[in-house]
Amino acid sequence: MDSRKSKAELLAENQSLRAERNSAGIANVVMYLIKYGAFVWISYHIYLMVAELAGKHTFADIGFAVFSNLELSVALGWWFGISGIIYGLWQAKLRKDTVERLQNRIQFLESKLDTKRTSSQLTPRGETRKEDEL
Amino acid sequence: MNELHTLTSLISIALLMILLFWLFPQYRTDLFRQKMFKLRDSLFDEALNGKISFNDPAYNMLRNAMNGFIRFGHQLNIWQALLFTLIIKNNKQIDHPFTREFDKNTKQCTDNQRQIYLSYYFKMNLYILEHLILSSVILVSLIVPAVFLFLAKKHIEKFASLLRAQLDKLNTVALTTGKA
Repeated sequence: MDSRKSKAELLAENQSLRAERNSAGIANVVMYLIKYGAFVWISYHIYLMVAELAGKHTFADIGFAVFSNLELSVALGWWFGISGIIYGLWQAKLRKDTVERLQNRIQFLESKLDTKRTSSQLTPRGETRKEDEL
Repeated sequence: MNELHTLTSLISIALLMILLFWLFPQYRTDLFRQKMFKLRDSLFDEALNGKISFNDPAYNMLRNAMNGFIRFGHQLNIWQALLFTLIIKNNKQIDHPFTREFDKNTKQCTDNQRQIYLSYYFKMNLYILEHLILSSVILVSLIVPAVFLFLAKKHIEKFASLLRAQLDKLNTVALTTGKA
């Protein structure tokens, strides 16, 4: 079977790849604007709050006041949320360690059965390669 | 101390945003990749058991497509997919080349093999759709309440029948109060 592609097929492939890159680029720029814009907005308001308090209190006072005035329910909520995030990150690390430990053996054994075996091109820990990040 | 309340609220919002904009998408990408890996492994096992062949063009096509989705899963989101559809909408040259090539490749197989390939093709597309919808924080926050409302509406009668005895007592009280 002739596996060579016609000029029209290659052109169509090229155009879909370009469309994919363009759409990913635009979507990412918009997402970054929303994400970092929201953080700039929050930082600006934190700055305003601190500036408001700055004339009346020292930074140590503000820090102390934030924590001493925290209601128990809010403090518990923060503690629960932050502990949950740390737990999740530990679990993710554990999973990546396992992937790294097993992937060489799997690749080696599968390549013996399928000599033309293709790969997903992720890193040994199952993460996106630096050059694939947009 | 009103400012302090605002300050603690802003810190809470910032923490929530880290969760929604960074950690949640990372989790969804990992989950999507995990599902694709599982599907790819299952397809490999079908070939290993002799139901299909490692040399089938359809096998290689599906495996390569799954590899592509695993590799670029971090870029796949609903907004990118919508933009992509808009960009190629009027391009006549990009006229379902995947489907065309897949059909051409599966025509060389037996009926059983064709069914196997089609089921994997279907599952792959299902995972993509699931990822597109559930990896968007906005869509999830709209869909979860909608599904909850739909299920609630569907099962409200069942739920009401369970509570009929209790509701009956309440109705009696209301009737008595109404009569008085």
